[in-house]
Parts: sequence; structure tokens; C-alpha cells
Amino acid sequence: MSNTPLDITVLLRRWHNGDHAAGDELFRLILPELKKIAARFRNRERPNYSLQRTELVNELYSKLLEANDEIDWRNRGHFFAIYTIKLRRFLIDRARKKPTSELLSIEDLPEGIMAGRNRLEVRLAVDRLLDELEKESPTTCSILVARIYFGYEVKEIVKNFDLPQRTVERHLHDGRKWLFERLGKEPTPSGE
Amino acid sequence: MTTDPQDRDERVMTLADEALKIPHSERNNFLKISCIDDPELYREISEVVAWEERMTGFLCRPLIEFIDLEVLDKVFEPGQTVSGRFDILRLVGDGGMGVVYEAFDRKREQRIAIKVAKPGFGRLLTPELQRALQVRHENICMVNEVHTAMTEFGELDFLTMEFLDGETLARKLKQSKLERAEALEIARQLCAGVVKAHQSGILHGDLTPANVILCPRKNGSPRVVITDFGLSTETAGAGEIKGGTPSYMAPDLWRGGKASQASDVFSLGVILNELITGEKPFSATAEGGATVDSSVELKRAKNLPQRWRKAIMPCFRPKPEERCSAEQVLHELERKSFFRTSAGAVTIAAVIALAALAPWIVDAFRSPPIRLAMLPVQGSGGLDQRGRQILDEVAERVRQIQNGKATAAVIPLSKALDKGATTPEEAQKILGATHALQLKLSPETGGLAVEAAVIDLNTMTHVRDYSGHFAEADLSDLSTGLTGLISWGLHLRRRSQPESVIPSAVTVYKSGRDYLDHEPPDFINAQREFEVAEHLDSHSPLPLAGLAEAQIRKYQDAKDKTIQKTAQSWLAKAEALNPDSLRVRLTSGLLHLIDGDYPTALEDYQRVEEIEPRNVEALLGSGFAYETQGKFDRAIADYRRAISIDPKNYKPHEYLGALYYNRGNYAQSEEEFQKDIELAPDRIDAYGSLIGIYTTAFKYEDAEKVYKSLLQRQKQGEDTALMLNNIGVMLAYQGKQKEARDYYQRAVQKDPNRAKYWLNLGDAQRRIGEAANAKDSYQHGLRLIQDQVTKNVANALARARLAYFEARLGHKDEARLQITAAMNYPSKDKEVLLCAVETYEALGDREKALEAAAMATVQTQDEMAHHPDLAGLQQDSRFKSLRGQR
Repeated sequence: MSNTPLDITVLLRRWHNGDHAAGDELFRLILPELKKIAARFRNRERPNYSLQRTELVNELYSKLLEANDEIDWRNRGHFFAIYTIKLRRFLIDRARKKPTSELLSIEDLPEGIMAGRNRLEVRLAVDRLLDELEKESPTTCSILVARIYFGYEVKEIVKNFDLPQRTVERHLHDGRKWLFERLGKEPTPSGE
Repeated sequence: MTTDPQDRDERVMTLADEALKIPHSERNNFLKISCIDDPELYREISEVVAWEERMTGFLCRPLIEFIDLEVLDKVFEPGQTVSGRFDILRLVGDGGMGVVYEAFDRKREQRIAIKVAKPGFGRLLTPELQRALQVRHENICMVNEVHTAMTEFGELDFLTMEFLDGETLARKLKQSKLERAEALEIARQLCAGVVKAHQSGILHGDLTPANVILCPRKNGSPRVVITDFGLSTETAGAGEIKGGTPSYMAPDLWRGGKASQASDVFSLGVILNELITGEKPFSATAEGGATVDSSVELKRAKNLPQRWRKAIMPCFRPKPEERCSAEQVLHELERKSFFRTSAGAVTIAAVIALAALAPWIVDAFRSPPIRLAMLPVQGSGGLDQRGRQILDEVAERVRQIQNGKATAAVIPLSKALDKGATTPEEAQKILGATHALQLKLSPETGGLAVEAAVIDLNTMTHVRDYSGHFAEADLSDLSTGLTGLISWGLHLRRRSQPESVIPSAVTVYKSGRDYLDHEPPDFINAQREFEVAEHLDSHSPLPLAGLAEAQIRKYQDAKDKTIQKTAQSWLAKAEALNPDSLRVRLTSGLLHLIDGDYPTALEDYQRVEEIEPRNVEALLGSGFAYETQGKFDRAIADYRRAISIDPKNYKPHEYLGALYYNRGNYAQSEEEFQKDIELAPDRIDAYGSLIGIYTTAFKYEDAEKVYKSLLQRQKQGEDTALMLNNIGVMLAYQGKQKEARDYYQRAVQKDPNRAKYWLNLGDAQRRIGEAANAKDSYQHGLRLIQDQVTKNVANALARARLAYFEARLGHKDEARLQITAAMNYPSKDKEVLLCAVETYEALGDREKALEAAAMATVQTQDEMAHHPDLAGLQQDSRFKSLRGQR
């Protein structure tokens, strides 16, 4: 049941070249991954929180289908980078529509970062900044998102992004630092 | 100097990691030495370290609390025994939502598959699945049962099903293109499975070659089995998109429609197309799912052989309502042109005939006419003759018990032997049997070991099993037991006969039942009577069932597991004598209800209702089983039916009243409990329920009336004082303090040893200005409570009451001391908190009173809001906002 990086890379190439069976196969390979993420969310979710995992899974897959024509998938890491970005966008859009849902637990954020913001405001600030980070350094952004939104362990990121551990750690450090600096500087939003 | 960025990361992060581990003072030195030849590296690492220090763990952990992934995936471990019955052998499949294990079922002694939903993917038991459990078909993976196991993740449902040894159709298709004949056979069986499912009202939702297993039969032909019926729709609420496989997914489903028979038919069409051409007809596209347009349709149709085209193309119609049914596909596949050379034609004709009949059959009895074959007895030679006799008796009895409209024909052993049918397979082939009884006898000390199974020949699985020991002298009981096993297992319609014991045991058995029906029931005497009855008539299951029932109901009150075990063993003995006895099934239902196995309980009660549709006890049981599963409409229907059958019985009203009460429908609940009281005025339960409803709704006057009518019925006893006290409380809450005082006075006269009554009396006297009397009452109560506290120091309530008395008597310091002590107890119930609030208020300490009030439940706060002594608190805006918050 396990998939090697090669599997996905080969499938991506075949898929991009128009082999639709490879697309299905890819979907099968990714499905458990997506469902794992969805399942982890459910654990914290309130009963009325309507993040439906199948919806999430299908949404993402459609996004990937769209992207297939535009992007030349280079490798597994590239693929996962795109995938986390797509998935984050989707989650954030959902969270924006439902501001009462509690996605973040921010007990361990330093005082300075809170800067009089409430939970929702911090979350929205983080989301907005991540959009910026994504433009600036997409890989750093994807890796950070994989960690803080999807709960990936470093070793899982290493596997999925096909990068050495210390490089992943460096990205995480850089991403956190980037956010930390900007969250400190950002004026406390009130109109958001 | 390193140039490769990844090498650079390695050096920076490794050294930063090291640096962060050593004391602050040594860091700089460490880094300087490490980077002696690379000042740039030193600068970079120092920055990383400095930032890490500053961020103090900022975003080091995920923003969301996640469950540990490793744990998530391993639901069971090989070697583990689940529910004391299933030995987990190995993990055979790991899907996104669930995990499949191969396991050994100790009870059935067979290899099975277990499917568990991963934690977070919800519980398996859905109406869809329940229907799937009832479908028995050769081409559908047979799901035996849903079980629930307690695990560290909480309650976990798992399914047991037949273990399929074969490869998936997906794999087969990958290997090579199929021969026409093989493709046709697979297509036909696949269709037959889908037809059967759709007729039974279940959907697949994710039909793909990966869900189809090909199991080789002994003769080399494949048995095609569709798995995961009713599972993929588990989470699909209205409008929710399914996580199906794009190439096989109907466009309507992809666009957010609900899974339907039509969407299954679309997937079926894709698979059939692939079977015959080796290709999928459509490709997944950006719009999502398979695209259907007429040009594609034409192109694909050209590739299809003419005779297949008619069967397959209607599956692809874009509008779901225009698509054909699975039945029509099957029909097309079975046209003569297809089957000129196929030997399967006859069976197929039978399937079609069945398909036409099925809706009625399903309605009437869920199963086609049964042909039951008696198979030769297995076991040592000496028992052959004896076994043959038993089987003949069973055959005769099965004929006898059916009332005119026989649903089962019995093929006697002699005929099976004549035709040379000795195995289940032969019984199916040669005799055309649908079911078989297999019996195995082997000598054991003091009697015989008996193993019996009622086998469904369609699926080759056991519908019911029995294994046990019979003493030589009791062997005649075996034929009644086996007859019961058959009629129960095959849901035979049989005459409903009054069940009884032999005449000499009748009186004592009835007396046992009377003890059980008595109010309150007397389990000890009932048990004694049943033991005697069992001694007098050891061939009847009734005394044994009575013993089990007495034990179970005792367990219900006492919550004692050993008693439950004893009950189970009595029930097993009763089931050996006749599992289809209504009394036995009712008892089994009760046991399963108390055990929390509601689906099995429901099955038990429904069997009774099959035989006796007007059996009130069964209706109450099935209603209750429905209720616990959240199917309130069905529960209400069963209770109402019970009322219409037996309008003088209080029980259905009591059940219905409780249901409404639990659902918050107090008006209807009140109505039912009032009828309950009307019908059974001597039972106190309903009075209590009615009072509960009234006090919840602050209708103290109504509650007072119920207490008073209860008091009139009550024989003089220790409860009288309590009743008088409670009437006093109801009056006090209505503000009728003088009347309240009179009742409290009567209460203390009846029972002068309750501090609570003295407390209430003192309160009432104080409220009407009888200060001296109040002081006497409080002092009386204080002495009682002081005794109690010295005897039992670890009692928060006694402390709190003590504090209250002290406060009312003006001993403020002592009161503060005691109430602080009371509040220091870790668990404080409603009474303690109420008493604390009253004490603090009496002491004039509003802050503390509010603090204690904040700890109370909503109900208790409601009570505080109506309490006659808490007017000050009630007006306090902080108390109001406290209640507003909830």
C-alpha cells in the first residue's frame, strides 16, 4: 500500500502526458493522504462544523485536474507543494465563511504576537500573511502549511516533499520567523 | 565554504540545533570554534539561534490539535483477540477510511474478514448498512454482523464478513484483456449482484473494479463478489459529494448529486465496457468525473460489439432519470444471442424470475421460497442410525409447525441419499436446495457432542449454528432444538401456539412468572419457583428462560456482571431446547438490550413479532431498541401499536412518556404519564416521572397535587415522612409558607431523625415570623447533623447543612468554617451547592454565594431562581448574567 516517490513522479508524468488511467491511480494514491488530513481535522471539530472530508477531497482533486493542464509536474515534492497550497486555500476560504469555527489553538503564541488580537484576528492575520509568503517563497509556505495546518511531522514532510530533513527544518524556521516578524509589525486589525 | 544550499542547510540547522541544547553562556564560544573558517556561517547560525530564542516555540506545534497518525492507522494488532471472539490474523487491506483484517471467528470456527472504520471516520452502523446486512446473495460479499468493541479511541464499530480469497477485477483487467466468455460470465454475475442490491434498497456508491473480487470456485469458474456495499454511502448526507473514483463516477454524482441507483448503473456500465473492450469509455476531465457527450458516445459505441451495445449504452445516458436499471442490463446480457453457448442460461432465467418476484417477497418475508435439504449426519458410525432418526423427526416437525402456507419445503435425508447428495454443494446442485441442515455427532463422556448448522447454500455460509452437549437420555430434545434452530434461522412462518410446561410443572412455573410480574418483582422467589419447574420439566425451555430473565433483571438493577454471565448460561440452555420459543427470544432480547446490543435485541423482538404480531412485550422491546438507536418514529409507532392492542396496559404509556420526556416534549410526556397513573394507580414510578416534569417546568402546584394523591395511595411507612416533606417543599416554593410549615411538622412527627425535615420546618417558621419556633427547629436539626458529621466526616452535604444551621442560629464564625470545609470537598452535588448558596446568603456574603451558584448546573440554578429565601440573589444582576450566559 505504500507508495514510493518514484510511483508518484512517474504517474505525474504519465498523467500530464494524457494518460488518464495514471490520473485515477494518482487519485487512489493521494486519497488516503487527503483523508488522513480530513480525519485529523474531525478530531477537533465541533459536531456542527461542516468541513466535510469528501467535499474537501473532491475539491482538491478538481483543483489538481485544473492545474494539470497548466503545470509541468516535475516531481513528487513539487506536486505536494502545489497540493498543500491548494488545500490551504480551500480550508481558509471555508474558515473565512465560518468565522466561528475554531481551527487554531493559539495558547502557545507569545504575548507580543497576540497584540490585543483575538483568536480569529490572529488566524486571519496568519492566513493573509501566508498568502504573501506563498508569493515570496512558495516552498517555504507549503512546508509551513503542511506542518501547522495539516499536522505533518518533519519526517512526513521530508518524505512527501522529497527534501533533506535539515532543509525542511530550515524552511520551517524561515517561515516561522517570517510570520513572527510580520505579525509583530502588523497593526492590530479591527475592520477585518 | 559550502555552496550547495542543501549542504548549507545541513550545517546551519545541525549546528543551531546543537547550540540551542547547550547553556547560553557557552553558545557563542561553541559557534565561534565550529565556524572558525567561515564567518558567514557563524553569522547565519547565530541569527537562527537568536530568532529561535526570541520566538520561544512560536508555531513549533501545529495550529490544530491532531491525533497521532501512527495510532490512527493501527486499529487492531495481529495476535489481538477482539470482543473475546475474533483472533486478528493479519492486515489485508488499508483503504482511506477503513482497514480490513483477516481474522478467525472462534464461535463460528471459520476464517472471516473484519472491516473497521478508522477513528474519525465515524461509526459504521447506518440504515444503509443495516439493509445491507440483510441481503444474502452469491455476488454480494456477505456481511455477517456489526459488532462494537471498546478501544482506546472509544467505541468502534466493526463488520465481520466472509473472507474472500481471490484477486480484484482491477488487477485482472490490468493483466490482460479477457476472453469473451469469461467477460460475459463476470458481467452477468456483477449485474446480478447489483440487481439484488437495488431490489433490496441498497446502493453501492463507489462501484469500481477494485471493489469486485473474483474468487475461484472448485470447478475453476469464478465467483464474482462485489464488496463494500452500503459502506461508501455511509457519510453521504444530502448534497454531499462522494469520494468515488473519477473514471467510474457518474457525472451527476461528481457534480454533487446524491448516489442513486442510476449512478451505480453508470459505474456498472463503465466496468462492463472495460470488461469487453479492455478500455474505459470516458476519461476524467477538468470539469470533473466522466464526460458524457454524444460524439464520445458514438465513437465508443462503434468499438462495442453490437449485442453488448444494447446492454451498455443506456447506462451512460447523461440524465440519471433516463438511464436504464441494472435489471434491464442483466436482461439484455441474457438475451439468447448471448447465451447460445453458455451453460449459465438456466440459472440466469431463475435470477430474472426471482427479480420479478422479489419486491413482494422482500415485503412479505425477505426470502425466496426455501428448499431445505437434510444432509447425512457426520460422525462416528455407531451414531449413524440415531442421527438419521433425529433428522427424520426434524423434517417431520418442520413440516408440522408450518401453518398451511408453507414457506419451506423439506428434502428428507432419504432423498438426499438416493440422489447421492452428501455435501452442501451437492445439495444445491443435485437437489436444487437453497438451504441445508448439517449435523455432526460425536460420542463424549455421558452423552453426545452435537454440532449443527443451518447453511445458506447460495452463499455457503452459516445462518445459524449450534454446538453443545446432550446427555444420552435427553437426545430426544435434540430434534425439537434443531427444529427451532431451523425455523428461527430461516424465519419460518409457523403457528403461534401457547407455550407451556408439562401439567405437573404448570403451577410452579406460573407462580415463578407471577413473582416476575409482581410489582415490585421478587427475583429470589421467582428463581426458586423456576428451579423447581425446571426440575419437574427439564425438556421445556420455559423454566430456563424464566431463570435467565430473573437473573437478567436482577442484573439490571444490581449491575453485576457475574449475574449476567449466569443469565447467559441459562439462556444458552434454553436455546438448546428450542431457540425459536417466543419466551426464549423475548428473554434473549432483554439480555441484549441490557447488554447494549440493540440491533441483536431488535432481531430477537422482531422474530417474536413475525410469529405474534400482537405481542405487546415484543413491541415494547423493539420500540425500546429503536429508541436507543435514535429511531424515534419507529419507537413511537411500536409503542402506539402496543397501546392499541392492549389499551389497559400501563407499560406502553410509561415507555412513551419516558421517550417524550427524554426528547423534551413535556406536554405529551405528561399526557402519557397521566394515563399510566390512571391504569396503574398503585405503582409509584409514574408519579415520580410526573413530578419530575412539573418541577422542571416550575409547576409546583401540579407537583403538589401529584404528591398528595400519591400520599393518599401510600400505605403508612417510612416514605410517608418524605412525602409530607416534599409536599411542604412544593408549597414553600409556591409561597404558601404556613401550609408548608404544617406539612413539615407532620413530617418531623413521622420521622424526627431527619435533619433535612427540621431544616425545612425551621425555614418555614422563620419565613412566617415564628422566630422562637424556628430557632428550636434549627437547634434540633443542628444536633442531628452534628451526630452525623462526627460519624461520617467525609460528607460535604452534612458539612454544608451544619454550616447552614449555624448561620441561621447566628454562629457566623462557625458557619463560615463549616461551609469552607464543605466547599473544599472535590465533588459537590446539587444539594451541597444549593445549601452553600443559602448559607452564604444567610451570612450576607453575596460574592461567595455567586461563586457557588456558578458551579451549579443549569437546573440547579433554575431552582435557585425560584427559591423562596434567595430573593436578594435573584435580583442581583450578576446572578442574572450568570444564567443568561448558559
